[in-house]
Amino acid sequence: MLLRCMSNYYVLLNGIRCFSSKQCIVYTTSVTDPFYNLAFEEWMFRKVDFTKTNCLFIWRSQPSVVIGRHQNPWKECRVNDTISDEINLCRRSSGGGAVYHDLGNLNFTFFNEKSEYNTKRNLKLITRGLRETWPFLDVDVNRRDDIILNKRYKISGTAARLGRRSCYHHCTLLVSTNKSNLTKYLHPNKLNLTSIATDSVRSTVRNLSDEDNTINCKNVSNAVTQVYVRQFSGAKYYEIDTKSEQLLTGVTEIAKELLQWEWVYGKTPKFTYEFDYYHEKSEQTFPITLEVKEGIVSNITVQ
Amino acid sequence: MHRVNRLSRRLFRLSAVAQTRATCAVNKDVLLVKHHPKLAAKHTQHVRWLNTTCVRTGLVQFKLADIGEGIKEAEMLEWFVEEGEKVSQFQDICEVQSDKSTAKITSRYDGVIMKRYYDIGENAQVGTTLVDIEVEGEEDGTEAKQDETPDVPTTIEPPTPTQTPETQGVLATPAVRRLAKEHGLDLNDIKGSGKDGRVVKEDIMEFIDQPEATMTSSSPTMMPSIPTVMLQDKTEKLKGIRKAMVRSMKASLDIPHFGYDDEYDMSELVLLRKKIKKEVKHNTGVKLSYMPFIMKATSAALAQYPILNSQLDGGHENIIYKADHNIGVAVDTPHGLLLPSVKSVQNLSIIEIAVELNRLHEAGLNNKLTQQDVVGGTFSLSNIGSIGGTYARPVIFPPQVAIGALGKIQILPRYNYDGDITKSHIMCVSWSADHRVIEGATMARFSNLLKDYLENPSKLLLYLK
Repeated sequence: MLLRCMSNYYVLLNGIRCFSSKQCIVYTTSVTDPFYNLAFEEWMFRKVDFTKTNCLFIWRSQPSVVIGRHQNPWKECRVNDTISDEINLCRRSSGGGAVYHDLGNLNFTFFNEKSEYNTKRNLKLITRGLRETWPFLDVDVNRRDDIILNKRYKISGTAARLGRRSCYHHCTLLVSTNKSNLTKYLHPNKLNLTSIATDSVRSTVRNLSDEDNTINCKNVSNAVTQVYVRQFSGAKYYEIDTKSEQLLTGVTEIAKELLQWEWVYGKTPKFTYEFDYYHEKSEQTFPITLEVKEGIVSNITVQ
Repeated sequence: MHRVNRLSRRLFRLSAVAQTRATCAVNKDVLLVKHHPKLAAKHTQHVRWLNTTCVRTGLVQFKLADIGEGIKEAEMLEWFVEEGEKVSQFQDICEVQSDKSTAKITSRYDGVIMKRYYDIGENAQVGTTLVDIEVEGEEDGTEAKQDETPDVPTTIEPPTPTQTPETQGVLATPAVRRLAKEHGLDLNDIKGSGKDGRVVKEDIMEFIDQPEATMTSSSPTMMPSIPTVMLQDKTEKLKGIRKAMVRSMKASLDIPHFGYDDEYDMSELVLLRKKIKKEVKHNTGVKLSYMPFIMKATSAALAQYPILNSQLDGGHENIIYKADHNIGVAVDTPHGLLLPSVKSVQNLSIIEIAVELNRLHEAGLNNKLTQQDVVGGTFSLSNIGSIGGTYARPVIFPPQVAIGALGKIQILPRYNYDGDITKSHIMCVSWSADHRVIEGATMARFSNLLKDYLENPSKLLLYLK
């Protein structure tokens, strides 16, 4: 069925909207430093014009915990464990909850104009790509913008960032992630923290490779790319070095910003932490309340 | 006035766009109704066009525009402006979050923030007012400019990489940056040994203790390069080290090799090294690895089995027993495989061996090995375990008669003397020897002796000169 909507230049073809007059570019990278890949996303969002070209960026990270813009790292994960085990702890610019990345997790970032912002379309594209290559896979998108496997397991988390003219939507996809590490690091702290930060919603997870052990990041990436480029009249593929200052002027500056303590910890919305302190000599327990603002203790109350 | 207000409200409702996209406020006192002659006649002095874009003067109620996807409300996350603060067009006002998307709201006007309607954490409904802005501008009724001003950064086309990009950037985690700051160091001056060239805590501590980087006698960690696909065959002329390697390996083919492998329990040595490595580092600046111990123990064992430190002469008529134990250590450099040797190991202490080994390694990496360093070896050891692997089949380096390949030290369960399973540090060793000169039994006995020295380092003390 063909529907031509002149104002948006969309064409409906096999249930996927088709940007018949637009081109697309698919970027992949061998860089697995999450700070640089997140910096690349931000760079594209700030600088690039998507009126004629949409972009898809497919990337992976070394073991990392990535929290949303307005989350509390101490609430979402064991911060000390991430430091001692050399797991990267990043804060992204988009909202949403905390996720665990490793080389078995695939990230997709869809860049378009703000008027084309549509997370459901992008996620349906991914599920379509998976079902075309592996028809037995029971994958679907729920109303919370999660991709669900076997009507039960969450295999993807979504977040987005909207600007004045452009936007991006990125999501994870569990292909062959180390689930025990995911549970270990994404363990919401049971400390008594009261805050207005965004909370993560915990779900049971599963890998796509648990369904079929021939599924890996490379063939999933190809499956999704295939369906993505079909929407456009032309496609280009680039292997990009997201660390290249020569090609992406200013990306190192953004990566440095993302590494700053002031960003990772300092951007935590204010919160209070209550705990009991046992003083050995007097054998007494004191309830203590810490008020933390911008990651720094601003007030201590001892009862 | 009453009629004007009713009419104005009706007109305002009709312009449904004003509800969602418009950022104008109706100046409630004065309104033009172009097609209402009576009213027009009455209010000609204060005539102004009502339009769905903006009235650029007076108080403007800046509303939360439609984000898309049927989203009806968004949580106020952060304010970037205060009440009473001046704001300019395209400046960030606030950030809102709706489920999983964050959106930065930018101002459309130059003006002053008069009132903020939502606190952080509150839910703002789409179409309701976020802020009141007292707009600066002329009262001539011109439409507000919707076009981009020259101050707005221009956007570019998506990047199209055409050549092999260079890796850039010195990065470090927040904790490491703090440490560098505390010591007044510039991260650009410190060489990073962490993932992707990142500076880690150890790099900073080494930089503070010693300006020059020191390395162990194990093989250097090579920075992984971005893999590039070869589009067609490439021909390269053999020269330098590679040419020499081709010649010597060809000569090795004449030697009838036999192999002998065994496991050495390095647990005692691991404990010993742990105790004394700090002292060595402090006194000499050299990192103490296992190689100096292994080399000294090899020398002690060679003293008992001198035939392993011998050479066949050119005519294959005589065996020459070499007096000096010049133990060669295979070094993997960017230029190729080199085999410099530490001379007269029988006369050196373990610390002296460590220092010399370090010197040879550094020189190998920087292509500064001399002829003296490379020739004259009588026995060889290849520490392939520093890269990886367990058992190997090393190739003898003529005119020597034996070579050993040391695998990596693995932690494995083993039975001890009492029959209990304990954690043991096991190193696999693979020997290759020239069967024209060496018998299997000799190799086995030599290996057992070396094993005894390494498993019981205190025994080594008895034979040190």
